[in-house]
Amino acid sequence: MATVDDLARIAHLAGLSIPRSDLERIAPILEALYADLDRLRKLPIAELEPAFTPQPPDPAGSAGGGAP
Amino acid sequence: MNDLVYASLAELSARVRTRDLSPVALLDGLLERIERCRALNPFITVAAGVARAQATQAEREIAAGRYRGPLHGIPVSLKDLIDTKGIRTTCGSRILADRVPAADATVAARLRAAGAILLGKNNLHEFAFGVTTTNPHFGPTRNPWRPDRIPGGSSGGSAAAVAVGCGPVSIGTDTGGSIRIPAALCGVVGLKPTYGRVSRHGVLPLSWTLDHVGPLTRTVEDAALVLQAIAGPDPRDPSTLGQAVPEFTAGLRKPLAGLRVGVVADEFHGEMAPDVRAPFRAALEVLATLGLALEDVEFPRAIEARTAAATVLFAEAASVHERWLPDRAGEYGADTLALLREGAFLTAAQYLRAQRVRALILREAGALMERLTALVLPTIPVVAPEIGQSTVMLGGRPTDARAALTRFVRHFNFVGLPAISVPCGFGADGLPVGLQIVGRSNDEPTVLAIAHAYEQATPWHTRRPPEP
Repeated sequence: MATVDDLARIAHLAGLSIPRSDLERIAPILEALYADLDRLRKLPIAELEPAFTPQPPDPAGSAGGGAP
Repeated sequence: MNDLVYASLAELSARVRTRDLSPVALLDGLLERIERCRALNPFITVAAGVARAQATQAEREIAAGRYRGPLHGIPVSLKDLIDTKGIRTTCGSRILADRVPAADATVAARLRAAGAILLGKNNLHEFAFGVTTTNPHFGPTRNPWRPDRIPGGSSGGSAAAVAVGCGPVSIGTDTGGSIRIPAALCGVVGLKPTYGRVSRHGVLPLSWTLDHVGPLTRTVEDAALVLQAIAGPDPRDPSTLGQAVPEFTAGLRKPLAGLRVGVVADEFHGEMAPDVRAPFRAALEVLATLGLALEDVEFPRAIEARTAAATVLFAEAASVHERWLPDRAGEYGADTLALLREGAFLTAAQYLRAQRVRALILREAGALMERLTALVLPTIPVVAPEIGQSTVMLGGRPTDARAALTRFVRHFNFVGLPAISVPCGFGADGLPVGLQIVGRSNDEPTVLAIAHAYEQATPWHTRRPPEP
């Protein structure tokens, strides 16, 4: 869990000046997002590379209009 | 005058082509309309001088027999995030309030080449990072159906302008629903094409993975006409390369009987407001009478997709804004700044995890779309909230308004599938409700055909907001 002091240090390292009151507001939002992101580890992604090049699914393999 | 301001692009185009309607007279009528609708604040810049010169030129060319096609002489507005040569492009921000681009975005250049008249630049949520268009620098855009309500966003000025007759077409952008959300809340058509169908060159990015450019119109046929003009490969946007561009209007009336269409029926349905559920259910009945074979389906890993899409969006947006965040934070609006700062606290490993989840969901969504031609679901689970309202009631619980408005739309940015919102009725307080139709990759023709058949079978696209 990231504390407000942790966030202040990270912000400093990133060159951002963020008031402590704003960090206090952001902290619980980030904590919830980090928890959600942690749950993503359980998905079967071990063999998958990141989808850097955006490629929508194309079951037909065609570049033009599909059915019908 | 209403017959002119609410005429479709197809109708106006036919009259301009046969010289029954002068592009200059059409422009003058719309400029008058914009003036009348000023209180709704759909425009940041009205380009009257440039537009008049272009309309005069179009009139001359058409009189000389040099007709360019259905957009020739037709006024079009652009979300003010799309570069226009010589006309300021603010991105709805104070930071870029005085920026005048030296060149057109590809989409603007294509419209210009098609003979369209640049009517002006539409208001938007600051830097397109939000869904209300309550812009702190240029004022809020108001919903034409009830001015105390938001028009949605981020392309809120575009949707409000089209809904209230300030032009038949606007071009918007959609990173997490920003074309479809305002289209639904304002009762117009909004098309997010397949990822890579329309070039994003010259459009300020919000998220490279999720950004799309597309039209907002009052009819499905008009959306097809505009997409035809702006789609296609552009060497300056690699995501557009390798596509063949079909005839989008040719298939509008193709038979639909027997097509298998999935009704997205997982946790979504339980979290729809009753005044949205009723029009949505009625829309499903219409689609069934059109011959579509409807079946309940689940979108793969909807909850995980939401988390991963938000992570990609926040991280990429923070990267886009690295150039301004350290030194110019005070020039952002409060809500945009807060979201950008959240993105700055995501690690590289978390971002990569989200992109690996995206690879998984792309594969699973591909498998789903092997057996289905399209998906249908509501565009938004609620009608337009009040300006300044931060929560809405969903499933009996107060829910963050931003989360509620993006709930049904964000997934389709994440997997890049084409998706359209069409009007499907009215909910509480006479506010519009949208039906979302999602298709296979690069199969906008079928999405448009289903949307057009639904539109023609229902009266919703003929309803107009109160006169301002």
